[in-house]
Amino acid sequence: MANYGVINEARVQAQNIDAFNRTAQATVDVAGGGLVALANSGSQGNDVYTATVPATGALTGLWMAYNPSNKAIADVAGNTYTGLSTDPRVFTNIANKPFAAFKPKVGDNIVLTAECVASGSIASVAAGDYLNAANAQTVLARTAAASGIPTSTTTFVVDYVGYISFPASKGSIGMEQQKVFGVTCVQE
Amino acid sequence: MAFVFNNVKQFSQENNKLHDAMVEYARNYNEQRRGLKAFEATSKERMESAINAGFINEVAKRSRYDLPTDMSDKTSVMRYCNNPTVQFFANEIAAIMIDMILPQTLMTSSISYITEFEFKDLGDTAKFDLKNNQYYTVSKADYRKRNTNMQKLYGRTVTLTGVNHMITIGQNLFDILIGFGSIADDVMKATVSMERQMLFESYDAFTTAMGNLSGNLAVTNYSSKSLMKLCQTVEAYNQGRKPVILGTAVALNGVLPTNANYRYLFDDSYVKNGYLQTLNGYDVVPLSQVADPTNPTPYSLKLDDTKIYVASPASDKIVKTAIFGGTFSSTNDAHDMANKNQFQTIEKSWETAVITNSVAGIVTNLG
Repeated sequence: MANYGVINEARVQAQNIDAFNRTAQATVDVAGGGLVALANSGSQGNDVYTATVPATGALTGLWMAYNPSNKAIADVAGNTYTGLSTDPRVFTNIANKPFAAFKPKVGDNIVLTAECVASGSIASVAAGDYLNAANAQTVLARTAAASGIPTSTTTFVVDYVGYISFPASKGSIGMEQQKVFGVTCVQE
Repeated sequence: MAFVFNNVKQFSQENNKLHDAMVEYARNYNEQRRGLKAFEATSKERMESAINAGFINEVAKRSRYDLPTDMSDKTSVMRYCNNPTVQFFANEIAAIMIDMILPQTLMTSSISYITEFEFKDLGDTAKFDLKNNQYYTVSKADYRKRNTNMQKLYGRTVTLTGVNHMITIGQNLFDILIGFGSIADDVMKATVSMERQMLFESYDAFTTAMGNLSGNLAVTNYSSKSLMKLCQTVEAYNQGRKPVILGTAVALNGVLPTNANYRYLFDDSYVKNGYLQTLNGYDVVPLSQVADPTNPTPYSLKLDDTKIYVASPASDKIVKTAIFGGTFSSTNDAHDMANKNQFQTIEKSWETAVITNSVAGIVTNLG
């Protein structure tokens, strides 16, 4: 089973501005670094925004999910368990549970693990490429640098392709190198 | 100090003499295995005889069935042994006796260089939270900025759950009661068998993971310089924790300076031990070779004589073994078996895997 995406919101405007942070809830799992559209609950006193998977025609103004703060794992019966692991890659923001999201603003620096990008594109991502929102997926799509900034989508430029270390998995020695993309928001 | 199981703690409060005798027997037995002086104060046979007597009395005490008045009357002894209550307590005490000596047997084995033991209860999960072994990167900065880009170092959690292991042997209570068998020897052999199996599993996990190493952590041709570089690499990536050079005595026999202009005298430590105790500041530690009876080639040995390993025991043991709960011992009543075989089955739950945040290295093709 693949790891879930994890972000390090290294230097973002949401760190200093409360209004760029929201509590959201989706009917699907949203991993850290996943992009969602937020809509007000429409009910007085209910500050939990409704999060939906981005769709064609509404790929701008999206919000990005933080890593799960509750760190829960769900079983097949729908029960959830917390405190099971220190590895953030085994957790996602579980469907129908509140999670935190922030508004990426132009100039924000974010570090994304490779799993935040659509699986078929991970190997080809290079510095200068763009990672942008796409229809029917919370993970980012890749647009080659030569194609320029895609229009009408929340978009990040890839500053570097790097690695961060995790302790090795069971049966392995040393540190595991997790591929990451350092990105800057270029279009909201 | 070795771990003490809860059932052993309770037992030792109720019968400290049998506990102390068995622990002392195991200590001597393990020292004998390591080639040290053992059974000096009391002979092995006398200790076994005393433990047999202590065991028999404990069975009688716990089962509340007195021993036959005349122990030389084998018919009475046989009838006594067929008492299911007597059998139940005999099994229970034998199982506790294994738990008495298993931790110390494991600690005195060379397995402890590569394996860390975690003792849990039955049904538990052994959880290892591995810390990130790296440091943060530091950026140059000006004086007019509150902070720089946030970094995080993540850990990982790895778990082990118990896998049951069984030994079925032909030992029976009757032989112990009439003095043909030795409970101490049987318990010790069962314990050493478990220790050997744990060593096999640890070593298999260790060699598989080490065999998968590549790049700067795998050296394919031995030279003292390449070994030193490997030691430096392991030391540096284990944040300065000094590694040791591990291998069998045969493998370590070849760990010498590459420059052949050395001479040694008959009383040099290399001649006495068969290997250098220290090479360029790194301790050289031999792993005790063990017989491999499962190998179809007669007299095969388990540990590979063609490889040496570099690991930092002070950093984090490469292999983790979790032992779950106490030992169980049960007997099939001979009269319930068509051929009147009497089996004694010992069960113990453990699991072994490579779980570490440390770096280690391997040298193959020893020259």
